[in-house]
Amino acid sequence: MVLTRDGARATSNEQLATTMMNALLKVQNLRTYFFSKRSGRFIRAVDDVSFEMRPGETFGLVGESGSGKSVTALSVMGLVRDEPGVLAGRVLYQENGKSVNLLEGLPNYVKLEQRDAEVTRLSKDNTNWLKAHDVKMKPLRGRKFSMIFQNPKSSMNPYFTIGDQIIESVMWGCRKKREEAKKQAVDWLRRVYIDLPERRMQEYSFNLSGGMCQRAMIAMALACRPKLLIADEPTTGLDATIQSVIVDLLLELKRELKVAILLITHNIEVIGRLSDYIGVMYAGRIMESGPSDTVLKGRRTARNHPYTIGLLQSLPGEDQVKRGARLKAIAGDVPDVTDLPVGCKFYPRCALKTPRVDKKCKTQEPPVFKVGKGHTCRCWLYTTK
Amino acid sequence: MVKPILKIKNLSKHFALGRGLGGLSLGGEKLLKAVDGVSFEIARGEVLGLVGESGCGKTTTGKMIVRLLGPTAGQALFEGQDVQRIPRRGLSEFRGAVQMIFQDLDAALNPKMKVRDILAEAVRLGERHTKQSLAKRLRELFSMVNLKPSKLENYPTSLSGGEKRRVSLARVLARKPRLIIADEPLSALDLSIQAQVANLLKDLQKEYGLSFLLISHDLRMVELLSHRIAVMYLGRIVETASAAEIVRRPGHPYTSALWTSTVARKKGAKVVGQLRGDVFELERPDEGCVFRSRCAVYQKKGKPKQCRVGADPELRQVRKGHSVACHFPLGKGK
Ligand SMILES: Nc1ncnc2c1ncn2[C@@H]1O[C@H](COP(=O)(O)OP(=O)(O)O)[C@@H](O)[C@H]1O
Ligand SMILES: Nc1ncnc2c1ncn2[C@@H]1O[C@H](COP(=O)(O)OP(=O)(O)O)[C@@H](O)[C@H]1O
Ligand code: SF4
Ligand SMILES: [Mg+2]
Ligand SMILES: [Mg+2]
Repeated sequence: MVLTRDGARATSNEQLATTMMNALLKVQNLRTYFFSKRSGRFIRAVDDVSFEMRPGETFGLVGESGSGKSVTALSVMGLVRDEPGVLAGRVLYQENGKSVNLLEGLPNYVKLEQRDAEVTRLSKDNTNWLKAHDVKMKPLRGRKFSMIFQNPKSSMNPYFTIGDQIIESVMWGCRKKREEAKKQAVDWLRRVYIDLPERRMQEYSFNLSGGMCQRAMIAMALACRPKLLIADEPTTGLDATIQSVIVDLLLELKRELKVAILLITHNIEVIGRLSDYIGVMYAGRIMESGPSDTVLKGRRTARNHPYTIGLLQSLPGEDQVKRGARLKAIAGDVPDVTDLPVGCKFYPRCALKTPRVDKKCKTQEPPVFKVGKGHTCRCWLYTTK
Repeated sequence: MVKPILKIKNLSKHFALGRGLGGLSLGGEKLLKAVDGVSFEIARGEVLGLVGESGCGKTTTGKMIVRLLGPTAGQALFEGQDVQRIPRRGLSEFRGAVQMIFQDLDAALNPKMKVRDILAEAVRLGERHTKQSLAKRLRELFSMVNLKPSKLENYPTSLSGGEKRRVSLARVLARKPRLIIADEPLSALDLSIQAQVANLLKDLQKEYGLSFLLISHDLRMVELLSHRIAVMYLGRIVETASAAEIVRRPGHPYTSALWTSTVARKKGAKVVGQLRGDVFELERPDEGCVFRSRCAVYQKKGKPKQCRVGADPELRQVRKGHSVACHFPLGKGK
């Protein structure tokens, strides 16, 4: 396979519009790699990832740490700086009937050749790539796309008050004067249920609890009514009780503002409560993707991916919590990103591969199979041949 | 009745708070009552789950049990002996018998030492060995935690999270402990690995009749692994009961809210007073029940006086083996 420029795929505006239909964001065949000096190999952090989001919809990316969730989000935001970084794919964004490919022309700076699982040739002019991409992304970041992170304390600036930070972002994001921005900031703090918002405006992030900080971040991210909110592990590290408050808040804001949310978390319960659609990531790939309820059924008869099934069955659930019961653990260890198996990345741990497909699983990467309405799996079990 | 392996009596730990810390102290020095008059027991071979929001004093309690911290008041008695009064010559034995596993996967694993040497060091603290018998013992420890012997030659940095957790367990087991304080033993692990390690903990506990204080915020895991559960709120134990009972019939409004307000609740499950707000946003009342500012029952009953004045409610038995620290325990009189 040789992936060079996307010139081969025509990107005239009309054609884009047809592919977009009513989508807000469409990510197609995204690849983002890094280089591991320690092992002298590429880390294929995001490999051939595709998904789409419609306005007001929540797409949940779930997966264990290191599976590539954050890198996917950072690639969409244009915040991957390390080399080689984003190498291929399209990020289509549509607003008011106009569509753009945010990665248009960028493959010209990249030469990537791979054979099977090996990268045989790779070069990228990262400086110019980043420059060109920034031109496209600057007007969108903080205005149309905004992002909140895990550990809100470290993503807030400890030298400025909460108030100043929200005001700053409102001034930039909504092009408002300071006075007006201030009013808006207070309103937003109230909206995320922070008591005494005027007083909290004067405080520094280290004086606030984790839950309060996260709510302030959410206020900051939504104040200018972005079209897309990327929430990367917004509840991780918070107490269960506070997680629940954050989830409820996001649900409420999602309904009111009709903002699309790309929700990233390793917490299946959080994903389940918030998402309309779910993508399950493993070793840089989306292994399964589909409507939330379908994916979370996780029973074999429901036509799910063996990894999803294993993960769901390993959780202590309603019925497993019988004293003395053992959990159904997934065997084996998390994959080493610099040394992935040749065929299916889940092969060494898969408990559901059958003799019919075993050889294929071991030697060939499964493509994306359609298994139901809007429901896909990267698994040979679903091949019809 | 059989003597408990651990008995905690009125254990307290107060920290002096500097000004401005946590935004709570306005004015002069204030005391943070991290642990405030806690009492409980663990029977031999029992797993007691300790749950509560972060900052409620779980780790501090654990550290006092293993003598990493001295209490401000009260006692922790291990096999009848006050741990603070163990004479110097008995300390080494105590440090083997009662051990703590920390949440941080890298704690206790010196990155500059091979796994083999880390374990050998621990083994030698309690046993004499020849070269051969040591090698045999190390293999034995490794098989107890389901690790391949080849991993003995690794350095901790080259291990996965699950492997690190297993090595730290092997290191603890090397000294034949009788009581293990496991502080969030699963939370740093990948999801697909948590079930493996939970099963391992369960097997070890059964096979060797170990006693555990299992500290965790994962309520489902605690429910699965514990015989009994104690719920902590701002330095106090507010409820203890068997795991089955506490989940089915919680007596304290906080316990009930804790279980139902987690995201894990079933879709559409009825919420008995969801916990609005977060512990740290609220001033801790000086008098009355510390939970009242978040308590649904207190609101529903029209802020009764009992909850506002006097001391924090004491733990009182509502049923056999089930105690609740609340003036209006749930499910009473039904
Ligand atoms: N800047 C970087 N340089 C090198 N490797 C990286 C970088 N960012 C992420 N990675 C690696 O890429 C993989 C995916 O990471 P990430 O997307 O952060 O995972 P997660 O699913 O936990 O969010 C991991 O193996 C990670 O170590
Ligand atoms: N060495 C210390 N000095 C001052 N305060 C401390 C110290 N250790 C813990 N605390 C405080 O004591 C309270 C209880 O902490 P901890 O026992 O770690 O809670 P948990 O383990 O339940 O999260 C917290 O408010 C914490 O900030
Ligand atoms: S492709 Fe094969 S190995 Fe991979 S998940 Fe499917 S059945 Fe399992
Ligand atoms: Mg991440
Ligand atoms: Mg702790």
